[in-house]
Amino acid sequence: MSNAPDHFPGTTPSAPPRVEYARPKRTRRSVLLADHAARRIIITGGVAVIAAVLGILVFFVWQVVPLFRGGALTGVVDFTQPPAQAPVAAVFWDEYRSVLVELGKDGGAAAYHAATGAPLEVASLELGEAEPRAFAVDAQANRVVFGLSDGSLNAATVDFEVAVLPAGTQTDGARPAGEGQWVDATAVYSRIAGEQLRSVTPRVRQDPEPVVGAGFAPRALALCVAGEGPSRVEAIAVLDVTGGLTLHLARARQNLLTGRQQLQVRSYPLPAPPGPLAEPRLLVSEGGTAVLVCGADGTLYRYNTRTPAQPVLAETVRITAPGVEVSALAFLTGRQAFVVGGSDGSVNVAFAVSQRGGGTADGLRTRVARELPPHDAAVRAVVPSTQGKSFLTADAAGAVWLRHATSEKVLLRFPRNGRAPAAPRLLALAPRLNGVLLGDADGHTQNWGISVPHPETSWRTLFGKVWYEGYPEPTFTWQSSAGTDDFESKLSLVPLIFGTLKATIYSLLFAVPVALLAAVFTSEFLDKRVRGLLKSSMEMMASLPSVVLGFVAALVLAPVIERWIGAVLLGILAVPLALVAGAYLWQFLPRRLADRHAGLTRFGLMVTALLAGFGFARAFGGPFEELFFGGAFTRWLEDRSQGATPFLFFLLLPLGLFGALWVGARLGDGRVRDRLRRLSGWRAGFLDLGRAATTTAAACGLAFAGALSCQALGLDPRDGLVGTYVQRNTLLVAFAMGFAVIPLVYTIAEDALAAVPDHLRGASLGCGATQWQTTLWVVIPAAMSGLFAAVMIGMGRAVGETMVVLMAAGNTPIMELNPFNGLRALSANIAVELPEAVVGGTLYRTLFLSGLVLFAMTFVINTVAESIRLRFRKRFRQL
Amino acid sequence: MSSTETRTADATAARPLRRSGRVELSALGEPGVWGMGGALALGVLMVLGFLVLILWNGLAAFWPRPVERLVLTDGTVLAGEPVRSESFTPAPSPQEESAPASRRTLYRVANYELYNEDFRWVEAGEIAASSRPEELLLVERTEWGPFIGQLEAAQFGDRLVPGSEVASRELHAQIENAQARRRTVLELERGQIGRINRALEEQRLELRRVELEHGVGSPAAIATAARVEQEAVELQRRYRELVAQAAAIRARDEGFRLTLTEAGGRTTTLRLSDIVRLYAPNDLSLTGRLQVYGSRWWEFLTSEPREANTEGGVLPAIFGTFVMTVLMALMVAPFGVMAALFLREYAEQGRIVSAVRISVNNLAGVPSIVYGVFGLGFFAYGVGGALDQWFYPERLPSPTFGTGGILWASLTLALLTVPVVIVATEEALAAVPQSMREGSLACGASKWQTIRYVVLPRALPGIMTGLILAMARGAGEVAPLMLVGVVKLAPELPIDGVFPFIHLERSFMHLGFHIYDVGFQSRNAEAGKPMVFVTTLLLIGIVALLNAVAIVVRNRLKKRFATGHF
Repeated sequence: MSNAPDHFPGTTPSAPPRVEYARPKRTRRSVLLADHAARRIIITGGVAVIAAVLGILVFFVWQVVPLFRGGALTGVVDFTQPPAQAPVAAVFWDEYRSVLVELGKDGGAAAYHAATGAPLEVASLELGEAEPRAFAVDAQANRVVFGLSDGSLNAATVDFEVAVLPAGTQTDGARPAGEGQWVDATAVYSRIAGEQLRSVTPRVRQDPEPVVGAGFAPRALALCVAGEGPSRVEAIAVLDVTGGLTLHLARARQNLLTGRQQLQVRSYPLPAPPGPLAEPRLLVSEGGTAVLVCGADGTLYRYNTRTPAQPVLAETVRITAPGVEVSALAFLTGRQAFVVGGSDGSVNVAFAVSQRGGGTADGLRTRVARELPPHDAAVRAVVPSTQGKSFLTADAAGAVWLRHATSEKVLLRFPRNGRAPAAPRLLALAPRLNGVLLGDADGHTQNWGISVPHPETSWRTLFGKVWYEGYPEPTFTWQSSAGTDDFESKLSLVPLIFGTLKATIYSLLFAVPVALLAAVFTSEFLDKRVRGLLKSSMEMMASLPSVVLGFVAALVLAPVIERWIGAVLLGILAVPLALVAGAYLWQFLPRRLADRHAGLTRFGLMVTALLAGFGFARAFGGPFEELFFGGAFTRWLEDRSQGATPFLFFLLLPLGLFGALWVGARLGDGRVRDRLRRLSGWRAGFLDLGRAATTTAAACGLAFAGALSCQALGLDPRDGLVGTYVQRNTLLVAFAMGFAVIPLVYTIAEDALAAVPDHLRGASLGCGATQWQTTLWVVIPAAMSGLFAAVMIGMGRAVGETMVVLMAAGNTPIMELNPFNGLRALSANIAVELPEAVVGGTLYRTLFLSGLVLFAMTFVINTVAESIRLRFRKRFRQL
Repeated sequence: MSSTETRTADATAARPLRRSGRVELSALGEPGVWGMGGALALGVLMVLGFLVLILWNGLAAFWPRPVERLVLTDGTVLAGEPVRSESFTPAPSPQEESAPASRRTLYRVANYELYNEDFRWVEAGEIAASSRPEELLLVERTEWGPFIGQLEAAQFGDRLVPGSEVASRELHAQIENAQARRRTVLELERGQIGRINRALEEQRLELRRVELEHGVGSPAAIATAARVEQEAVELQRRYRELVAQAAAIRARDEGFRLTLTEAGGRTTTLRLSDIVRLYAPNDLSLTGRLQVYGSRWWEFLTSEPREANTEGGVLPAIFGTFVMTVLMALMVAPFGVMAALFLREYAEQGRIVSAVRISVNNLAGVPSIVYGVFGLGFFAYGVGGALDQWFYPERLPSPTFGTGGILWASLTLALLTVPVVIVATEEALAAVPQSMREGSLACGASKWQTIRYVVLPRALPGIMTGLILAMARGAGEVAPLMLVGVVKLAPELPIDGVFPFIHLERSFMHLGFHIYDVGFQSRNAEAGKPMVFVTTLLLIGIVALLNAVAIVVRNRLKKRFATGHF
């Protein structure tokens, strides 16, 4: 420390006069300042870093929580409409929630501004002399069809013409209507980003000619518009007053001469529903492939009209509980599943599922798959959303709920305080699922803004079994996207968690024995001259980037393993056997010689035995397959006609070995051991070899007997344990992951073994125990918790490994134990799907949730390992 | 430390054996010992096998192999490099139970534009005759992969030379000239025209910025628009000039061509400027081979990839990996050390600190992909999105920082490796004896002085080791990078000569991702394989080098501060 020549008046007088300090006795300001600053910076920085690292967890939770929230009401505007003369047939809403068009049952149309109720001009339908009897709506296509008393069907389309204009260019007649909106006689103008104006003009366009000219007056109608452009098909189902059922399929055709678009209609008569029908309701699916007729009593007639010229009444089924009437019926988007509202307030979702031997004409059977929370009074209306599987239900007591069909959640319950206890006259759901319109008979109308960002997720859809549309039974399924818009996303994390655990368990089955045994050998038996070298070469394996492991596994090893699968299976058996055989041969050596060469020579021989095992497996892999699996293992897996005994035999071999050892211990193994003790040199070796050979033979015999009896019992491993072989499979993942897990477990286990105090070893050896006995009964028990911690840490690594499973596992989200099939792990799933997920969308948040699950899994595993390790350390401090 | 004692213990164990001569064989546990030894041997063999596989394939990938000309039994003639052969069992035909096993060889027949395949399996039984004609040429091109054929004729400007009279020296000189022309064109198109395009884009953004600030149609915006218009005219003129210049060179290139005949007799004309390398594989001396080998390695290390990354070099990937790792180290070192100093030197040791310590320890074991998810959600979309809103509104909706980029990637990796550095630093700090701190404090040093001059120097080996190991981990990590900014082909490097020189928002290429991309996403996995092996070799080399440096640093610094360890 340099000395500053400053004089400190405060200190000199009190100092002993004799001593002359060259250095000041007060700390320099700069030192104090530096100390203070360093303290501040380090504490702030340190706390910030730790907080940031721990903040990851908070961020994940924050991203995930919205998944489990229902919906929220974001605002409401009220206005009063003049009471309409006719009941409402259909309401159409534009996607910007600005204009509503209402069609009365008499064909009269009215349009108004959705926020204020200001009227807009719109043309009514020209229905002529005849009286409208029935109507049907396709909300997705904004199309409506009216059936008149003369049997003609008239269609109309409601259009919302949208134009973007420069700011301030609305017509002079436009008057302000609410925040940033103007209304004139025909259009609504709203201010949008970039100093622009959007105008929405409603139009009702009636087709110039009726779709169907004449016939019997209809009782009920159904309409479905599917496809675009030339593949557009309009399907109209008609139930007429005589009880006749007809399916009209209208396709747009370009007239070659005039160039005009014309509807070309083909009509197909369907067999009449056999029973009497009160208040019939009709549904028709996309392209008219199925027609459903439902009476009020709950009887459903399903017609399969895939070939409309040959319609089949496929089944007749009751879809409500006895005594309950159907009071509302509507298709969800995709027109596979439909919602049935009952007079008892029940709300159920039903769809046709394929069922073997279902007893129906087309092998499909309509099942009520989901029962949603019921209303208190009869359900009066079901309004499906045009986006996703959400829908509105209204009951006779005036309650209006927004629900979701897959998650079965009630997303929103609309407060109807003070209103008449009756179902609303007007009920509409905005196309983007961001608004709901409720209108009462007295003209009072509420326009609710709603926010339901993630209607399709709940704890049950993420972690439970869900009966998805078209599936024969409830399943755990992960399928986040498909080609079509009205696809029901299946976001169950269970198959992914299963995949992660499967990859982890199979790789630990391979890696843990290898790593632990190798660690024990390194620490207790290995010559110290090579110990350092072998240890560091194993550790080097730990630093291999996992992408390299994945690449080698998937592109180099996968074809090799597929080709040599017989050799691989044989190797699992042959390599340990070769080592054991080596050991028994070694026992023939005289003790003195054996002791002298117990170091490197023995290890060299072990390597040789291992290589011999490999060589044996490679050479006899083909014959082995031929003998046990009738040619090729992969074909055996598929071909159930070949017996399962050989494979069962392999599975039961370990059990057989235990059995044989147990039986041997009962049947005079003690006497053999006594003899062994008395014999010496090669004689003992010979006897021991005989003992081992007998045990092995007995084990094989037991295993074979077990296999035969299992076969007789009809057990076949191909029922669940093994199955289809694919090139990128779990076996491969387990092997490749071994490269990542073995060095980790090995290093930690070796450290734990090395930490066992040497006086324990010395005491044991001093008592006359052999090296092997000391290892088995003293060192390993003492290091047990450390070894366990090593396994846990290896497990944590295997759970989170991404590149190896991404590249080598095939990424099929299936739930099978079969090690020859692929899997999809949580980590690989994130890597595959997150780059494409829409920010803030349901898939995005679900992937965050799977990240959180992964985080939690590894955190728990590591904490367990850490606490075990701490206990282990404490124990050694006591020893 | 235990090893010597174990050996002496071994001796004591052996003595009673010899005395009595009677020891039960099962007490020696030979089968068990052999099982353990086998496990170790298996582990070591796995390491060795892996390294040999990578080294062999990686080092051999660029070695020029001879090209064989085959006449098949059905009369087809083809020429190709034998890649590998294997024995296989033909699919059993309905007539016979199982066909006998036979051998087949994979040939790289090249000439993709003619054959629509790069590789072809040829069964041993199919071959009627095979030879290695010396006049066969292998031409590596900028597009369509290599071409194998015989030189028919060469056109050098207005001189037409028949194939047999083309002097190899002149041919190579002409190819070099053509390559120089290609580089000129590239400089014109990428460098100068790129600069003009950037200037135009800058102007568009400037106009947009003014519009956002003052409103569309405001006087300022109109003035800027007029100025931009004026400058654009000049830029457009220069642009047209440069395009004409490039077109002129291209037109000249058309006059330098080679006509080659493939094995089947069809001819193709190649522009000299499209040729990367040309050699006669069956007529190469050892030096010639070494030259080709060396030039391929040089190309690999110093040039950009071509042919969807399956050919050419990996310079951008090396550069990206390097820049990302260095950025990561710059971020992780101060913060990791700070956090460890706080935990070990400043915080009051108690339950909370040990809980924090355990959590930090655990975070080192959290899967890297989880950090990737966090990086994407928090850094790229959260922080980056906000930055875009504040500083780059004129570029929206195309994101600047609001998407993956090298800054976010290195931040994510820093977060991933900071627990490693904290744990390593803490251990190093704990290993500094308390007596040294007390001695320093007793001499009157302040706490910071003690840390600065006594504790940190002694902990330095441990800290450096931790940091270098963190860098090794960061360099080899791919999974989180796939989410936060790695791309298969980055048009621009994160550091270049354009102001402001360091572009932290740019996406980048990475060696690890290169392996994944070429191995899994390319058109022809077989064609990409040599590239993947060489890249793997390079990546493993870098990681191993970092590890080795860590060990050396630890040992050297340890020697310097050899005292005070227990």
